Amino acid sequence: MKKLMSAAFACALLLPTVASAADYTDKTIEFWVPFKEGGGTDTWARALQPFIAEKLPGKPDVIIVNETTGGAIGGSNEFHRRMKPGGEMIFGTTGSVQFPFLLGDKRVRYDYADWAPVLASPIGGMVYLRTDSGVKSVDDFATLKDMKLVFGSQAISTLDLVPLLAFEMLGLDVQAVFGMKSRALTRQAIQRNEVNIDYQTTPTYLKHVVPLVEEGEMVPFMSLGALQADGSIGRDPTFPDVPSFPEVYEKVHGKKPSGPAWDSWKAFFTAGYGTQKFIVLPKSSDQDVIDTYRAAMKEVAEDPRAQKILKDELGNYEIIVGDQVVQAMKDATEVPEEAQAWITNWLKEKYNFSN
Amino acid sequence: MVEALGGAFLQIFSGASILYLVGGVIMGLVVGVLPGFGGTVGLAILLPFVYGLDPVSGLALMIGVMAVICTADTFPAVLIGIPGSVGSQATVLDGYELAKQGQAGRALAAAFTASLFGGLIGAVILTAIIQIARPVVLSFGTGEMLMLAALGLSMVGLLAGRSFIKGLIASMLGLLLGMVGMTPTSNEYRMDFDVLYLSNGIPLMVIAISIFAIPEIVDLLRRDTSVSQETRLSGSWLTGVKDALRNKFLILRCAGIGSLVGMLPGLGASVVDWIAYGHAVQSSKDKENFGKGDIRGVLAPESANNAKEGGSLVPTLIFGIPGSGATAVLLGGMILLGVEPGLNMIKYEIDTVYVIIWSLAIANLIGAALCVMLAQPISQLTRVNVRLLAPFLIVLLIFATYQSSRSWGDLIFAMAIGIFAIYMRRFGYPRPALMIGFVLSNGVETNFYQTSQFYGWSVFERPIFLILLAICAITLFGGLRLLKKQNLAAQDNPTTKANPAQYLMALTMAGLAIFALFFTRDLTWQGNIFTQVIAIPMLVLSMLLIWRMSRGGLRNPDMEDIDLPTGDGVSEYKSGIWLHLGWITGLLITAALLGYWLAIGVFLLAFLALRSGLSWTRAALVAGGVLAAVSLMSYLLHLYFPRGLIQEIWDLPFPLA
Repeated sequence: MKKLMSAAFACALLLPTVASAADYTDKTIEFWVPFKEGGGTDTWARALQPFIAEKLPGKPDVIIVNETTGGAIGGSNEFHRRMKPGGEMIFGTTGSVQFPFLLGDKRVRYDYADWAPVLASPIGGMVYLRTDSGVKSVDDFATLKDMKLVFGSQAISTLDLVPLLAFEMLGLDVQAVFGMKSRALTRQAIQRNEVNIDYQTTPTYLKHVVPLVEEGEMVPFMSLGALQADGSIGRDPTFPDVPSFPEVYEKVHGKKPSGPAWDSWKAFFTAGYGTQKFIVLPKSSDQDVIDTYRAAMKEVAEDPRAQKILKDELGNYEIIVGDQVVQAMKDATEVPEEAQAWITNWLKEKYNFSN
Repeated sequence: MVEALGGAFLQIFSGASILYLVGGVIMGLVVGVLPGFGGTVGLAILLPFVYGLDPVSGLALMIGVMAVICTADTFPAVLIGIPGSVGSQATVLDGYELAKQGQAGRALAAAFTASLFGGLIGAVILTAIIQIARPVVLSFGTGEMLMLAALGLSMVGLLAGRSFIKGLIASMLGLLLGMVGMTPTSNEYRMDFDVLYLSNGIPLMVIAISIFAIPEIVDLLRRDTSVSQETRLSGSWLTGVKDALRNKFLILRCAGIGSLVGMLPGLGASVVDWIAYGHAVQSSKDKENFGKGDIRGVLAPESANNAKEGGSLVPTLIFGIPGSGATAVLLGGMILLGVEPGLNMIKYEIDTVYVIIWSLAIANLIGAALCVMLAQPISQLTRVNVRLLAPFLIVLLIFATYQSSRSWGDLIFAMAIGIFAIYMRRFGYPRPALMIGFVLSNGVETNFYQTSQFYGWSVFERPIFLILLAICAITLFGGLRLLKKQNLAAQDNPTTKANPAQYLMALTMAGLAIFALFFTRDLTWQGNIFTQVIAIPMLVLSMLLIWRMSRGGLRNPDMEDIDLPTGDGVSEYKSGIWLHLGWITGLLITAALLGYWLAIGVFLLAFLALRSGLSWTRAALVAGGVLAAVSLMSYLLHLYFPRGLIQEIWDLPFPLA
């Protein structure tokens, strides 16, 4: 501990000289977000905005630019086209920017290879059922397997792909009904018994489903999991008592998941949840600009006020900063070729979806 | 409960919270008056300032903004016929007509009084039911939502104008326009033609602004008068307040409708004013004046759209489901304040809920009072000749449209739809019917599909579904009877002869239906069934219309053409359409080259000097002044302007960039 303290102290002394490499006094940083005001990613960016302004050398103004030309894809295309190196333009991406990129959507003109990540925010998800389904935990899997399950989804090319693929891999009989406007509305649909299986991301699960679990109306079934330090996917730290999807898979099939379906699931899980949101700079920026940002984001991640807000908003997950974030973005934006072919085929066959 | 209510009241009035509330109200008024700028943007600008405030002040600030936007957006709706936000689409119908008759002050004051009572009633209803609302909200499933959407559609009969067949065609065109984008059923893109802009669907405000505002501005320019066709303004703000008091039961009922529809997320914001308007028409004995300046046509939607804000807080606070764009940002802001909406909040932190409700009520009071005071002076604008007013309106119109998705697509589609709407207006295709079709297109399709998946035929065992079905039938029947009456009343209309343009318009409608059928032919059956269900009848009706027109005859209600000279044989129009469209297009082209900021300078200078008859020096002074004001606003609020070619080529400094 003492060693750590002195190391931290030394770092603190060194920091000013390192950070002066790039200085943003009297500058305005444009923090681009490809969503309208009020969305999840916009709120996340606006929550981080004052901390980024405070931690960057020279305490610049940080403004949020909501670029929505043609939705998330169009907004991201626009940033990619207009971005300039130097750290005065940064970009906030999220799962719904990663997914079209991974799925090879022909409208995508951006390329993650041109971006240098400086921060990544994970999130999790929880699959839950109605108590009157009779399923109390994963031990009642046989009951669940015999049931006709109905699942509400926004569209197959959204984050819903991850739980739907998980259901498929577990061999569940799930009818997906599309056109739901948001996950908030599917949460209402399960309370009306219109659907009987649903999932929510961690923060909304904690806020809006846990009270229903306490009332005895809903029961948690499995979490999607969480990225572990060694790169594997294991139990979600927010839900230590509920098994994760890989655990349930192992219990059902008697072996650890593997093969192209699993590789696809893993890639999309990472892109949509494991490291859902990134802050990136143009890769063409000078290395000291990127380093300055990484140091500032590290400070943001260590600031208890920022931690509290992010945990309230995203759940109990460690923000990824420093050098780790590079590998994290690689995992979230690159799918092995075989897995890519598998998922393309699955989407076409099962959901008639192609790009 | 009374104790908690009192406690929450004191919390707001102790310390600085009340100042934040007033600040929020004033900011909400400014944002609401700018057309195209809804509560979403207003609240989003605030978010960085909310962090660090105490929860009561932060909530007061945000609710203050949210509560008054639906009040303030009435100004552009009444004065210039541009809906300030989605909540005031229906207000335009009678409000703007009243302004034309020189009664803008009265219409505004009536609207604000209705808003006030709507808001207060909404707050009362929210207080009364927040703790027991969960089963009410949950009893509205997709089947009931489908019927509410159908109820909205059945209003078409009431708003159809003279020719029912044209009303149907217009609403079907709206439904088809609403189908552009990703299908809700089958994960396919429909009628997007591989254009990125269209893949997300056409934004509501692009349609709302273009179909109402562009034809009106062009019409004013052609007449070459002021908005008010009377030289003297009549009807003071006091008359308006009295109008509201006289129709207190209408306001009460519409506030109830607003609260209920607001509680049901997914449909809410964009239809509530139409449903209220339809209700006002339906429940009135003398219906002839609706659409021609009936004060009840202003009172009903304004009461409902403000009551809706209280209603939309129900799903927000209980389920964490935003009922509108603004409540979505509000949810985000609450997280920053450490306030967590949800079932637990209703159970354990009812104080916070009451703080929100009180803020809503007080903000409504302050907002309405300020607006009523401003109504009279601001309504003088309707006396200004359009030659002086129009350039500013056009500049504002383009800015407002661009806020929809901040892309050039907004402007290009608004222009195209606006030109089409000019001919719809001329030949009596009711634009409100198109609007309703568009607003409800997705709701009808999604809820129909989901109901069939979730319930099947068993939906007919649900009582609320059946009650709503009956109300739909009654509305439809009432609409048909109204039409019959109107047709009888139209006996003394002047003889009209069909001209080629009328046939061309009907043929265009048929062509659009064929177009939709053709370009959806390769989709899966789930993807194109809804298109076929709408486009095939639309094609048949268009053919029927052509046949009926060819039979001609006196007093044929299908033959409307408002460009023809009336009784005394003199057309009211002094010039054609294309000259004025040329000015708007000219501004768009200049903006595409120079960017919006520089383009409005050039446009104002040219228009004021060449068209309005100002000297070049004065025109330059005005244009310069506007540019300075716009720069200041954009500096303070981080506004977004359309970029032009030169911004793409060079890196320009503020305010050019």
